[in-house]
Formats: sequence, C-alpha cells, structure tokens
Amino acid sequence: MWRGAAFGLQITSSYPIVGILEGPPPDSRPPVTLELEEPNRATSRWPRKGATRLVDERSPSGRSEMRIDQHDDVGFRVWMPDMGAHIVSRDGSCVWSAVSRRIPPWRWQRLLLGQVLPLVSSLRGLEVLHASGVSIGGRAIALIGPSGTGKTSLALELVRLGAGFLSDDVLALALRRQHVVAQPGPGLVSLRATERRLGHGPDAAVQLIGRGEKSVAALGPVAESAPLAIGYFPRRLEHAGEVSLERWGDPRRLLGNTFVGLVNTAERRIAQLDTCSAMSRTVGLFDVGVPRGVDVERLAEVLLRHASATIERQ
Amino acid sequence: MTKSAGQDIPCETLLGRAIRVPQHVVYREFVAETVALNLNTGKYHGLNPTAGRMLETMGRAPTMRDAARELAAAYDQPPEAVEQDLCALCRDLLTRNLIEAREP
Repeated sequence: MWRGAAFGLQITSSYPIVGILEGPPPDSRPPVTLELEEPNRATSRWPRKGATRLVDERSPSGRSEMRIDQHDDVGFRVWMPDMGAHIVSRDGSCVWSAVSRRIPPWRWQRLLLGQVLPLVSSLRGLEVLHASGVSIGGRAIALIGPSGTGKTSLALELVRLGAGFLSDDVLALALRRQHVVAQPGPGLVSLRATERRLGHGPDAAVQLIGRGEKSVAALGPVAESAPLAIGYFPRRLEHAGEVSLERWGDPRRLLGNTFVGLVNTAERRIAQLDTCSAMSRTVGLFDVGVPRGVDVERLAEVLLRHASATIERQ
Repeated sequence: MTKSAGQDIPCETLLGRAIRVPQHVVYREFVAETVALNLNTGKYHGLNPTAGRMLETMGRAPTMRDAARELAAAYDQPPEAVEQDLCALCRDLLTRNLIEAREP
C-alpha cells in the first residue's frame, strides 16, 4: 500500500498519488484509506434511491460538469466527466474511486485532490479554506479568495522569491490548542493558459505534467505544516496607485471563504466556528488592495516584505 | 421551568429569570464581535463586544439581576441602566431563539 500525507490527512492508498511524496506522516493525523475499484463494483456501493443532489454544475451548453450527491447512510459521491466517480464514506475514513483505465492518473486525480480529499479533510474535522498557502520563516501565509483572484500566480511568485509552497487553491487548517496550523497539500498547481509560461525553459518554476483546459504542474517537495501567521485577501482595484494593506476581522469573510460548504453537520459547523474564532484572534488578517497596473511580481515583493516584518514582530 | 418568547414579559419579571443558552446554540468570540450560531436553523448572528459580554455573563449568572449587578460593577454604570439594557438584549435574543429564560 502507498502512504503519504496531504490536507492534514494520513493517506493509505492502493495506488500512488501524483504530487504527494510517499512516506509516513510525521505525526498522528486523521486517517483515510483510498481504494481504486472497477466501475461495476463502485456502482453497486451507491444506492439507487435516497440520495440528494448537492451540486450540479453545468456548462453553458447544459452538459454536466460536476455532480456531488449525498446519501445519509453511505456518504458522498463526487463525479466529473473523464475523472471518474468517487464515493466518500460518511465519516470520511474511506474513498472508493471508479475510473476508466484510459484516463491518465494526473488527469483524474485532479478531482481527487481538488474536491474529494478536501471534502474528506472537512469530514475529518479540519477547516478547509479557499486559499493558497506558502510558508516564510516557519510560518504559514494564506492567500484567501474565490477562484480567479490570482492566488496561484501570487503563490508561485512568492515561492520564486524564496517562500516554501504549502498548497494551491485549497488550504486545510487544524486547530491545535487555540492555534491554527496550516497543512500542506499536494505539490501541484493548476495553471491557466496564461500561466503555462511558468513551466517552460531551463529556469522553469514548475514542471508541467499534464495539459488540459488547465494544465497541472509540479513544484517538488512542499513545506512542512506551519502555524498560520497571516491571511491576505487580495482584491483588484479600478484605480492606479500603490498596493494597500488594511487589517480586517469580519467573521463573515472568514466563514464565507470555506471551501467545503456541503458538510452541514453540527460538528463541522462548530469546528469551523472554533477555527475561524481562533484565526480572528491569532492570525493577522489583511485586505490587500491591488491597483490597476500592479503586476504579480510587484505584489509579491510587497507582501513578502510585509509578511517578513509582521512575522518578526509576532 | 418555563420558556418565554420574551416580548410579553415585563423587565422586572425577566430580571428574576435565569438565562441559559440552549444546546442548539453555540457562540464564539471573534476580535470585533461575538458570533452565535443556531445549529437548528444554520443562521449566524453577530453581537457587538458589549452584547457578547452581556450574553456570557447572563449565561452563567444565577439570575438576570445578578448578571446586571456584575456588569454594572464592571462597567461602572448604575445598575438600573444596565438592567434596562440587559432586558432589551434579552428580548432580542429570545426573539431570535438564541437563549431561554427560565425560573431560577
């Protein structure tokens, strides 16, 4: 069996996972077991009746792009075309995946890493933010915000400037005695067409491992889990000027940036409230105004300087 | 022990009641406010720091009147003024089903 760690989970799997280094995790984390199954076997696990459709994303043409169903007795079923069907047990301890053999692992595991394991992480008691994460001086920095806000580009630029890479787009947080600890994800990023240049040339920041609507690139070993020190919430401004940084502590923004809103159990909601409460009290949270004309390189320099000074003062 | 919607209970009567936070309500402190979550409805409610402290005090004091006394001392305010503020808050929280008012 293959073993590794990501999203704060101990992963035991019947297949290797692209982007995660094999090896036992250094401390005790909630375990999850991953199994690959024949489609027929996986189909028989999911009841024909009694499930509720939680997510049904469609393309403009009406084609189904992602479906997530929940069944009270079984758990969750996550499906995307060409990425297989993945059944997650109610408590998140097991995942059974049914995938066509003709689909390369890097492609179908995008769903595993992008949706399924974050869901598992949430079920196992961690809070999962819509954020990319890097680490500086042994402390974690979260770049928080919805898709399309440039989190990946900013994270990669910070890594180029010397930060350690923690995670792209999904950041799992564990609460340890009122301190929030950011957990590393896989050492992979999803790149848009405009970002693919980062994977080319001898000085490439990343190694492209798969091309599609979004390409997948590997960064190499990720940083260790680290106490969360700062959360940046970048937003583009219409006017020109300098990057602005302003403290904020609105709980609604923290609660609203959760990655997994599907799990609405009392335990999960309380855990989310506990983690966000701890974040508001122990993490420096900053609204980052990014004026027109400021590129990602400049933004990363400003944030790196600010983060280093802030961490030194803490 | 009785529950009450609160709006129809005179302040003097409320002050003699014990306030408890029901099991389906959890609240946590954030930097600038206290957030209460009603697990039955999934709704979040924000309380300013003063209201948050009042809720915390009401929840552990034997009666509302005891809570008012403690808060009056803490804020160096006349007890009568605090009692009125506490009654107003209590009625609001009762309406939102975030607390229960019982006989002590």
